[in-house]
Amino acid sequence: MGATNSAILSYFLALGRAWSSDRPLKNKNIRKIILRQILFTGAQALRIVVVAAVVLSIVLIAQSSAQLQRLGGANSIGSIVSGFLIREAAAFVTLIVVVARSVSAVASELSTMKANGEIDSLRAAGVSVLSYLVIPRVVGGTLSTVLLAMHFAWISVLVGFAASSVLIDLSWSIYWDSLLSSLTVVDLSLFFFKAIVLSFVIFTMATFYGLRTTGAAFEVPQATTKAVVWSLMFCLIAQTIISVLYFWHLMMSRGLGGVL
Amino acid sequence: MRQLIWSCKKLDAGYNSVEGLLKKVDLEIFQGERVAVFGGECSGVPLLLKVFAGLRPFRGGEFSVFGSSLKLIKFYEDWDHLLSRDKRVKMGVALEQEGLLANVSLKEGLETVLRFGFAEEVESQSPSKMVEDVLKKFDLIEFQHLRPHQLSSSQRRFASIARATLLNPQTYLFEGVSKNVEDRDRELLFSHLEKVFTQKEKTLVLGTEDWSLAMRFCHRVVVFELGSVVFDGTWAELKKSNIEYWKKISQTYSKKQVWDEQVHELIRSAS
Repeated sequence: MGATNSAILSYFLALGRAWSSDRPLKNKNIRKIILRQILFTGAQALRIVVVAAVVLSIVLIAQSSAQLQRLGGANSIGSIVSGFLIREAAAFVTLIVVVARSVSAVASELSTMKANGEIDSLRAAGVSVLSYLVIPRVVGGTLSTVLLAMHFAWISVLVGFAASSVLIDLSWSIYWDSLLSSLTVVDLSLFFFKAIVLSFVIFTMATFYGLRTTGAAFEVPQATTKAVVWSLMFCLIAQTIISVLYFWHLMMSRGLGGVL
Repeated sequence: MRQLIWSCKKLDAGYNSVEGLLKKVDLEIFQGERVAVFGGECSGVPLLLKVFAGLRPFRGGEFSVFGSSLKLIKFYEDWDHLLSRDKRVKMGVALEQEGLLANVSLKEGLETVLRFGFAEEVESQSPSKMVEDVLKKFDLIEFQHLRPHQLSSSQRRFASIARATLLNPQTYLFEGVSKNVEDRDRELLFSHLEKVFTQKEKTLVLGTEDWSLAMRFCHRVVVFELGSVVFDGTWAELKKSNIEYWKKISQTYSKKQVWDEQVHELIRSAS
């Protein structure tokens, strides 16, 4: 594991070096590849993210509205939408969809290219593999994940309102007021932090595992599995740590630090 | 005085970090030399060519390309950095695995090399036009919109050679370029290569087991056995040599009729 960690670290450093020396975003051909990646990771995955947002919002509202009505707090349903769907679920569920759909695709594509000798021939022809293959996938994948998570958030807000209006006859103004009053800068920061940083890491790991193969065909599924498993593990662990830190921050800010 | 293109002294290299394959290799290749590199199984020839092409790091000894010494490094991308683009511009590489980009057409694949690898060199020219010219030269223009899997094995091979010649470099590193070329296309391959090597000062390192190809284009022969150089000289010197590889080759192939007359003569006179 130590060797893998140092290899990942070297990979991040090499990526940074390629970014600063090649300035890939200034190359219009690389910008075209980024757009293609956004089409694949973003536009083509929109449908499944919309379905996930709709289903999760309906389930959440249906489950929580019954409990809240019993406790007399049905009017605060908007705060549950902002607290769970926007802050926690939007980025996390989008990341899971992206891992299943795009991280696996990126890892298998790069490892297949390696097995076919395409990577070696590109390097021999002076094409920087990091600038031509890795950076467009990481940048395009990260941008797509952020856009998908934003779509997840607004769709879940609308579906949350529709569900609460049907199930507990909640008005838009009460729902909206409750949602806005509970939504803080910290919530939005956490949403963007997760969407940007975690997606950047999982796409970098996908390219790392894809390129790390030695060129044998049997390594293609191995690389794909490793990329998916480690990306999922990373997302789950990061999500847990972020949620616990947020809870700790909430307790401290309300003067309840002693409880911990 | 001729320029030293590749130089290695006591070069050690391996595919993994445990065991070395190339052991203490001493070799110098000057501008204008055309060198055929032979070797049987476990000879280390493919690895040597990958080190020469800057695709594999070495582990010990000294190694220089175009007069610049390359240091030992830890991560392969550093290697790309060290073997900087200006050196790659001077070197055309066609490896045994053609490595044509599978998800784009032949023309787009070749243009990728110009647009991403040599953008500065082709700034004033049209990459599209340059690729068309090269494809015409290699009789591939009518297949320019096909993807690699839609081409025949010979066409894929010609395309990989065409890609190596895009910037008309003075130095070439070819590995197994006649492999998978259909019998009926062999003469076509030779005529394509002759177009590339019309100028005398062009340097070639050819890793192959195809003796007729090697005899046609190379005047110096290097033979590897178990990662070390066991012979380095001309064809005439090879004929008189007593190395195991040559004995095996001449015994095995002396009765084969598929060899061209030049090779046949060499084998016959030796045996």
